[in-house]
Amino acid sequence: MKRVQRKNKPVDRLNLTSVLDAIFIFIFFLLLSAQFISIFELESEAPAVTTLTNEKKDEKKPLNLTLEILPTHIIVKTGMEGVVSMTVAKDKEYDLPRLNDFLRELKKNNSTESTVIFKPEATIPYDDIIKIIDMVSEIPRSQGTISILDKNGAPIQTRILFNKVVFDTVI
Amino acid sequence: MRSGRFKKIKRNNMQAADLDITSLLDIITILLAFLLRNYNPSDLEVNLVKNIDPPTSVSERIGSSSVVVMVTSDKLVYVDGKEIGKLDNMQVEQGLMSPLLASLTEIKEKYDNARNIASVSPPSQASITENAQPKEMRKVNILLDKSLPYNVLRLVMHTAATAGYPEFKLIVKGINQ
Repeated sequence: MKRVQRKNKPVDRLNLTSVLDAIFIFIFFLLLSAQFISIFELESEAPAVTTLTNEKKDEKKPLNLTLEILPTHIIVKTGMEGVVSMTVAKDKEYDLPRLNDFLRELKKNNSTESTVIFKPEATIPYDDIIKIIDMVSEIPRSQGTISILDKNGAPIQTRILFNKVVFDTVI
Repeated sequence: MRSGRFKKIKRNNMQAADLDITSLLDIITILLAFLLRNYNPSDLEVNLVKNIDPPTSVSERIGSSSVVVMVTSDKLVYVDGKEIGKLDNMQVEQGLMSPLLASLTEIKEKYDNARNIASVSPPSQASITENAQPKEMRKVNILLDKSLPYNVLRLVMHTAATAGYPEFKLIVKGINQ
């Protein structure tokens, strides 16, 4: 019986250099052509009409926080009568840190309120509106938290201010 | 017998192929880091059209799938990636953009019809899964170029609310972009 013999053939080593070059270029091409942006959302609702029930009549008056956004300044109004609580000036940009400071104090005294009504003028850029929503919704991360009372009266730390935005002029 | 004969064949002399994949691993590592950094668990798929640059925001709320209305800086209006016309040429009556209203109403009707058919037919595995996670049709994702004025947003919101979408999700870019 013959034994099958195999000679010690030198193994061919694959030269992958050119393939790797091609993959490297391909990756650049993919990365440049893809749109890698992190997309998030901000919530808003169409204004709704609700009827006050008898149970709610004795409760605290609603804050009715309203921001009239004009090209030169922002008027902050509170209460059903629309009392002007503060005005935020605009130099190149609106003085939003000042608005945030004011809303922080307002939130401390109205911890159960979370709705803000926006009344922007038609020409206000969308970018400005988003910046204002950001400042109205929460305290910047770098500025810590505030202590408020929750519905049960227990103190909690939060960064959330008035995060339910309703546009007054939608309907 | 025959198989026993083959067992005797020695293959000890064969050398394993030695591939140098160091550089390939380098590339994969970089790619992995890049992909992980850009990972977004949102089920919202948006194919951004040309001339649209959404505003940046500190919001970290993850978007979810629904109808997407886009308006570019040159005021072209898209619904779910399909162009429906230019805002300047659109018929606007009582604060409503007619083509947008028609498009959104059509999508909602199709969805409602599909839901009705699904509820009448006997429950299959597919419909059970669908009912467990119904596609949200009360809300509309609004993606506007940041340079547009508020009256464009108001038009879109008013039209969407009239078409039966009272919840608006303003799509923004993350602050680190």
